[in-house]
Amino acid sequence: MATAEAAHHDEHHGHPTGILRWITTTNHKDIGTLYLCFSLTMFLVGGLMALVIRAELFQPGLQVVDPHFFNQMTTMHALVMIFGAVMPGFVGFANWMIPMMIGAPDMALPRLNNWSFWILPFAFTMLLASLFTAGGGPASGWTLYAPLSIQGGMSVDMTIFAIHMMGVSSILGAINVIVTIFNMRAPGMALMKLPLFVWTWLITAFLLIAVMPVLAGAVTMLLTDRHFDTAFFNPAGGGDPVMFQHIFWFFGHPEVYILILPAFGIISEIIPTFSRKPLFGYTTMVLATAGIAFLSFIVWAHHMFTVGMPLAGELFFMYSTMLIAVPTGVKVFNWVSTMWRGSLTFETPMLFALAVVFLFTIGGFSGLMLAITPADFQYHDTYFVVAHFHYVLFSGSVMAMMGGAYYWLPKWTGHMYDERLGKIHFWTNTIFFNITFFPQHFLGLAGMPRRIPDYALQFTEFNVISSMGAFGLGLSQLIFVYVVIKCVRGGKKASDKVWDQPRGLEWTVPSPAPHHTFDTPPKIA
Amino acid sequence: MALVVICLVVVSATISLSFFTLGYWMILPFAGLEILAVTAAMAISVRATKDYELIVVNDQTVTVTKRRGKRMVTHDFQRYWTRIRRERGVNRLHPTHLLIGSHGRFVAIGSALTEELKDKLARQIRKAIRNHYPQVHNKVSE
Repeated sequence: MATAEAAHHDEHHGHPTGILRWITTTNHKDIGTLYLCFSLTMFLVGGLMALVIRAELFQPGLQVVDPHFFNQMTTMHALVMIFGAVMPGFVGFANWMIPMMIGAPDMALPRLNNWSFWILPFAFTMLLASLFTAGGGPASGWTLYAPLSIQGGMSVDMTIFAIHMMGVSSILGAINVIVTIFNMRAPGMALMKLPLFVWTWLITAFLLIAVMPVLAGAVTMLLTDRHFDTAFFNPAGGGDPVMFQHIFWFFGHPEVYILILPAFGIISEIIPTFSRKPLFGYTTMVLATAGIAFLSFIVWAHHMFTVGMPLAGELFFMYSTMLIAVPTGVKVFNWVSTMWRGSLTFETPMLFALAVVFLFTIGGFSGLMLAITPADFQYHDTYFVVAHFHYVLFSGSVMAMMGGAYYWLPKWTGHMYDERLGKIHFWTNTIFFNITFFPQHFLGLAGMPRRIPDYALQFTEFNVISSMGAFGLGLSQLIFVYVVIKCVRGGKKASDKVWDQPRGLEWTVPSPAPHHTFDTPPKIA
Repeated sequence: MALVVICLVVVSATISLSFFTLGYWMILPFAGLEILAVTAAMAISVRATKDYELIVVNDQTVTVTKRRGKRMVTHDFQRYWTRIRRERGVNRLHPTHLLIGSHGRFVAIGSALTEELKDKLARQIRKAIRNHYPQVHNKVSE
């Protein structure tokens, strides 16, 4: 009788379904999916803003939008892409993969995890809604430099509030990652056995913890300058606007590494699998990641060589910036060495990984050029800088995420993606990316300033090429969306291992990964 | 674990105090709040890793030992009368409760488990209890 009674009770529970499942979920895979869908949505929104920019720049003169709206688009494009697409995208990967990679059943703080995601839609509603306020959205650039941002309308306040919310979300996510990695590893999973993706995320989480309060403090001081008559940055009251730049970039440069280190982790997972060799120089990879993170704290002023600094300061920041090439070079060397004499195959994830290594290196070299102080006086605030950071952030971070998505999609969905379409996406994406951004190097070297809606006639040809490339790049992302949707809906059944010789605990669970994995900790050899 | 928190505190305090001395004090409270949050999260998680529930089924009794932090409680039930029950949460968004007990006295177990694992645990405990029944009946018949 007891058994019958209990069985009767068992039928009365169950998971919430429909939208409630997603709102109330504390499962790391569900939350990872939410983050990834949010990131893709923001990527498309930010991409549309980029197309507005490129449409206006298709030819000289003002054709499509007025200059003020153009400035809003440059500002919002950056904010949406950085805080809405790339950061949540990597948190999505972290949520999906870190527990499975370390043999944990879930993240350490699942309710906090739910909260950190659900802050984001509200933050971005607030940010995007600022476009519809009187005077339009924020137009001072994503850096919100004072005193321009002090003079902005209500949209700046909404942006500041949205940044606070994004910051809270990021910090909670970082806390969860740190606690999960330190407390939830399977027995035998020593720190130096952690997959590289986990290591890069651990270091990224430390960076987030270190610099997010700096951003929060900076924008709060901006807010009080605007509304409470303080004068931290307002020169009219004796404040120092250059100090805002120092504070902002003290956050901003580590932020660049927050955006790229998890990408390095993804690449370090993909390349060994398709080279059929273990990662070359695991320990040096970990140390190089930590080295890059440390250096990120002492290079911030290379973003502001032209504001006026003592010569010693210029020299210090020049040399410290150049030093970053050393650990980054170690990473590139190790990836190439991993491939050396490997049994390489070139499935879509590997193609993306190779493109990241090659194109990110181009971005790294243009970064070295920008690090040279006297040269930077020429390049500063030109399209050369725009080209540089898109080679780092698009062909580094975004393409690594695309590669990662193709790599783990079969594990997430249980279906193989359409390899032919994946390769078409890769080639169109990569070719159009280069058509868009490579000419911008020449525009910058020729002296075309960034953040302008109109330009001198001599810049026309390269701008036409760049704009055409941008529209091609935008369209190519529709292939990606189609491939993902097609893979989610069906396709060839993926095996548990998916690839020929993958390494890591995530490949020991079935495909698709069950809702709950590693309820019993795995044994690590 | 303490070392991790100390490292974070040192780095965060160095950064925020440096700006504080320059007059940009508003970074400090944010850093302080954040470090409190990190420390609390670490402490809660570390404490939770030491929590456990031990269920021992003997010939005569079922003993449930629950450890939460420094508190340890033991409940004994007569095995023959022990029942496993599931109760709904406050509403369908809340997790269900898995209860074990007898004679109107029940305690919740497995509250940290997922619904599927609660089902599995309930089945395992029932099986463990039931497996003794034939022996009991045999003894009675003898």
